[in-house]
Amino acid sequence: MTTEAWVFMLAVWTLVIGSTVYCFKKLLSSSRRLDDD
Amino acid sequence: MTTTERWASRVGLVLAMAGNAVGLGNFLRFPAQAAKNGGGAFLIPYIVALVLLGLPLMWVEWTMGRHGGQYGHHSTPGILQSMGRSRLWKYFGVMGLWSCLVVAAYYVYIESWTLAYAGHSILGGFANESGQEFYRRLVGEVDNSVLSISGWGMGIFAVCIALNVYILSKGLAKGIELVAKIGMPLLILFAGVLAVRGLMIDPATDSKAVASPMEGLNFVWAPKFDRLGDPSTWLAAAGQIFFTLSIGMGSIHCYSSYLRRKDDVALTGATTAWTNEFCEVVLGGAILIPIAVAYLGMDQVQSTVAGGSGFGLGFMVFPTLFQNWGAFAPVAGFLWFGLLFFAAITSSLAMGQPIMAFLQDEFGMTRRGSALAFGGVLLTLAVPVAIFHEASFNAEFDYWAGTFMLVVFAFFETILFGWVFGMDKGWAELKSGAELAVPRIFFFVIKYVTPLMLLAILVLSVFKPAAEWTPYFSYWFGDGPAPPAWDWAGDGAIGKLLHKDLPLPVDATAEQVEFNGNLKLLRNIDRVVMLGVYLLFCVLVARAWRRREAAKGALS
Repeated sequence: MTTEAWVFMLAVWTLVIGSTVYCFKKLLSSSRRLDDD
Repeated sequence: MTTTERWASRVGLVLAMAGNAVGLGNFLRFPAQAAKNGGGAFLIPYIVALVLLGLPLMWVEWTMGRHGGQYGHHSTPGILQSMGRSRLWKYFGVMGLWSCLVVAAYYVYIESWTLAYAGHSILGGFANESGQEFYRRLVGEVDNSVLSISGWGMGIFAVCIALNVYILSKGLAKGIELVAKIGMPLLILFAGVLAVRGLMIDPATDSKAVASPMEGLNFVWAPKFDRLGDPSTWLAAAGQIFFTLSIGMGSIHCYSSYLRRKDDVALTGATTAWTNEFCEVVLGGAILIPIAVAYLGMDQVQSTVAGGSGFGLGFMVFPTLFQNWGAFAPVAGFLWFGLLFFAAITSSLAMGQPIMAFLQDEFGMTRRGSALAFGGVLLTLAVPVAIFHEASFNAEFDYWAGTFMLVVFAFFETILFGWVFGMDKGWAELKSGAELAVPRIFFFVIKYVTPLMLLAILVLSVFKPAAEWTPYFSYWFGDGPAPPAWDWAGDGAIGKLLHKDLPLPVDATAEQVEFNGNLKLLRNIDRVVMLGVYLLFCVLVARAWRRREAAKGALS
């Protein structure tokens, strides 16, 4: 793989995985539940 | 009957929503589109489209759904009507029901193929039969015949419809959510195993490999910046984002309508979108092309994905390529088609729920009754899909309901949300209960940028030339030479209407001419059927609202 391809792939993977993990972490650490009144 | 159904947990809801979004396109269409449209450079317009189109529409649909749910509506006619004063909005909302039903009619059929392929794989059937041979047997395809009937193929199709109906009849928490909680982790696991095994192919030790899988990965990710100046690349990226997130269908509205007013939609909506992107960009980009390039070589893969679809590779070629993996071949085939099956069923369930919700809300049907009604209507609509050639009903449903109408619906819903309901009220709705601070810039993106982008996609996909856009743009807006004479593209709306995608070879035989004429006839019949289904939904909606008004009058 060319260096450019590596840079592109890792940059996009970092953005996508980072955003997914951030969202899930925030969701799972929330104290709010759907069955709260 | 107003439903009191609820989701059991937020993670379950996110997985169900992600399951709705993650479909066959994540693993088949995305890598082919990326490879066709400039590799790594494709990802630039792709991310731009995600931010300007995907995420805003995701938030809009989640917010609209939750809003409509407060008024007892769980399908788009009622949800749209609850936001606009004109009585016509509910008929625009019919698009959300229509797309779900018509797409489900062919999508469940393809879902049944994944089931059949998974079973055939694990039994070792592909050791003696190619993917293409199995496909022709499965669908009963015969050269130059519009009839395509296979008894056992239709049997598996019927099983698949029954499975969908059974799961839907179990309800949100015990049906859809449970399947998503099992299916989504398995899908990610299966994809992870295949990606790792595929990237471990080593031409030095594997005599069947003709190239390194890293060459395939390079093919997907190496940037070709010259493609950024081509409007077609931007259009393709916007289209991919649009279709991968399952927006414009009415299923997101339906799922979020079971939330309460104070429940968050900003964070859960974003989580859904990013989970889909993980499955598409990270997993989807690491399986199809790298494995295919390793065993077929770059040239053959390039010609196979030139049309921008990975369907041929995924169904026709992959079962044979897996045979290079020895004893692991049956398992690899099972994992591949198993993950496609989970991707498909979590999406098809999301198409069934809005129809059921409509029948329950507006006609007082029970969950079981509405599930059976959905199954019955689906079966009726799916029979022509299953017995006629793939290029007739299947292709027409896919284009008009699974592609074109989604953009039309999304355009109207953004106008409703940002301009009719009002962006100030819409923004307040989105922020209500939000656990994610949506940046203020999205206020303007949702109001101005997203509808304009949708309008551009719509116009460019209706008036699409057979040649690339670039020469026309450079002629109209620059100093480029005269472009080729205008002809309609076969995959544009006008070109489709004119059957431009069914050209006859110059030296066509009488048999081919007859086959072509029959296909066109079937497609015209199919259009009448689709129009009839839309009108039928409109009649049902009108009747339901008359019942509502009569009930209100009786109460007052």
